[in-house]
Amino acid sequence: MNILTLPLKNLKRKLLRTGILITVFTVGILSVVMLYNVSETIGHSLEKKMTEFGANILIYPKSDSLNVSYGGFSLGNLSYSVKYLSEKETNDSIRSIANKENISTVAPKLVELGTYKEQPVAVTGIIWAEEFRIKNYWALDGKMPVNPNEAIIGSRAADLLGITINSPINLGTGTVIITGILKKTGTEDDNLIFADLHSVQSLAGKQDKINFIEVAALCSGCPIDDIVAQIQSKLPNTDINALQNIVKQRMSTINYVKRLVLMVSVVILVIACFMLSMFMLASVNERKKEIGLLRAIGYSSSKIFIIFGFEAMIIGIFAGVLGYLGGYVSSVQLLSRIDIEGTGHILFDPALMATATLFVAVLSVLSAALPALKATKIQPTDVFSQI
Amino acid sequence: MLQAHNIVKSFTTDTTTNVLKGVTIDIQQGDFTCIVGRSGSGKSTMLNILSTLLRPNSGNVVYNGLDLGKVSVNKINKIRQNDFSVIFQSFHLFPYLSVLENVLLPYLSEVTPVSKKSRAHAMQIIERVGLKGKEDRLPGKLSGGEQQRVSIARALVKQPKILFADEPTGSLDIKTGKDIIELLKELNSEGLTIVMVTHALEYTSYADTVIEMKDGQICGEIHEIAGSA
Ligand SMILES: Nc1ncnc2c1ncn2[C@@H]1O[C@H](COP(=O)(O)OP(=O)(O)OP(=O)(O)O)[C@@H](O)[C@H]1O
Ligand SMILES: [Mg+2]
Repeated sequence: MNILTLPLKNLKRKLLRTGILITVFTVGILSVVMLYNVSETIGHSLEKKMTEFGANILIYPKSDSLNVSYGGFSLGNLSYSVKYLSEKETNDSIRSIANKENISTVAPKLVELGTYKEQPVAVTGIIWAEEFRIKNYWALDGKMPVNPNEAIIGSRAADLLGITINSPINLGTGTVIITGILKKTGTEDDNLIFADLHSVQSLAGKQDKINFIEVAALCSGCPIDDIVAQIQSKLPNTDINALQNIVKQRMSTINYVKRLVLMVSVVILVIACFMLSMFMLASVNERKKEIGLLRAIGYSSSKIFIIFGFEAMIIGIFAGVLGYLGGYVSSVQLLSRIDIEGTGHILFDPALMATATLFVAVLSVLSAALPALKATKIQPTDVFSQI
Repeated sequence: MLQAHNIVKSFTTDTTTNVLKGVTIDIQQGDFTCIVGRSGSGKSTMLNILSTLLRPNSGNVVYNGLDLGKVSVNKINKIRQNDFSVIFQSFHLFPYLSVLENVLLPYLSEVTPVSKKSRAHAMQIIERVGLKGKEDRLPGKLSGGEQQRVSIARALVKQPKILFADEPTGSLDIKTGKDIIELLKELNSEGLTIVMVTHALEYTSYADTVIEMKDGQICGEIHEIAGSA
């Protein structure tokens, strides 16, 4: 038995009250944790989708004539005097900007004309690994190229030109062999042939040369404008086209949702705190005589504060642990039900639980502070003289 | 041992009532002092001032040479813990604590748990007030007289120097009240200084000193009538 005996006995004695308070606080914490987890996961998943959709920055040589763009890349365009970028220099420059942590993929490309049975075809040199990261929707009939002189072809190009697996494409000083046909993607990829960048370069005699480069930046609140400016200053002779608006719009949606979640959480917690405060106040009023007696036998006012503060703290600790666990379980449940990718991102984090519990404990003591202060003001004669 | 000098106390609610109008009392060590007087004469107010529960408007209370009006709150708390004890007409027991826990209350203000020694001491006191075997009961399961004994045990557990009692028999029947007074008298004869406020004039026969109050002033003081009970 010690100073904690009184608050503990009181919590036990008023089991219903204690239960209600813990429940309310738990629900508050639970929804905060759940809303947070869900909004984080949806944010992550949107972000991931953003990179899955493809690159969000496009870099190509400065052009004073017609803008050569990926979508507009037709065979005709290639008859212009095409400018090239240096693969190595461009790649190194992008990988060394200040925000380099945000750069997830750098995918350089060289487009060359080849022929199949005298018909001209466009062969795009790519780096397989990088390309797959921004085009993970790619699916293939046949098999993936393993040798440098192997290639894959878009479904539309294959149909139009009658190219099948094992067809040879003449390119520069040699040939590449088709090993796979891309399933329909609905993008311009359907019209192209893809081969290893370095093979295309060497067959075409254009070592280190590329036409343009696609970059995917992961932007969880990252400044896309800054990234563009940083790349631009490293590569002054390029035009950089950032799909900023899409990125910005998505980020602002996520941020809006997060702000909303924060607001709702704050409201829930404020209500919980308010309830605790009211219950504690009622408890203080109900126990005035006890407080007076304790003061009369020499309990200091700070001891009185401790007794009520501790009572609130225990409620907070219970609610913190239960709320965190409940929030964890229910967010996993909820996310698995609405089938959002990245559910695995929600980690059970004991340190976070401890922090959350500490936070709630402090919050509940703060909520009980006013009633507890009121309790410390009670003097024995205030409550004994009215007998 | 405890001197109150020229105590003035008034309460202001809607109007100001002058409850004590310059009261001087000297409590001797080992004395059983009774304060008597009609209802509203200021007995309880005076007792509360003596026991530090109330502060006078003017005048001073001196305990073993220490002016209680001039010491820190901390020191007052220490005196309430170790030197002074109070019992009341209503017993102010905690209904959800057992007899033993109620008696141990003065020890429960610390983080360090109550020692075995203190617990054994409390058991002794409980036995001393005649409640042996009832230490695990809740107060609601005790008679009024037994409840007052618990409150006396709680007041005694820290071995105070002075016990202040405000009508300790007020809510008890005559027989039970007399038992309580006899218990107090026994404790007094073991050396405890007692200051008791009472309505019942028959109990004054137990006292060494009887102080009679009227309208906030002392109107009579009788010494050394002890032993005539
Ligand atoms: N806290 C207070 N506020 C206002 N007036 C008070 C307060 N305490 C006591 N009084 C008034 O002071 C006067 C004396 O009260 P006190 O309790 O000292 O009398 P008492 O002699 O103990 O009376 P009783 O025998 O009825 O207990 C009363 O008129 C009472 O109304
Ligand atoms: Mg009185």
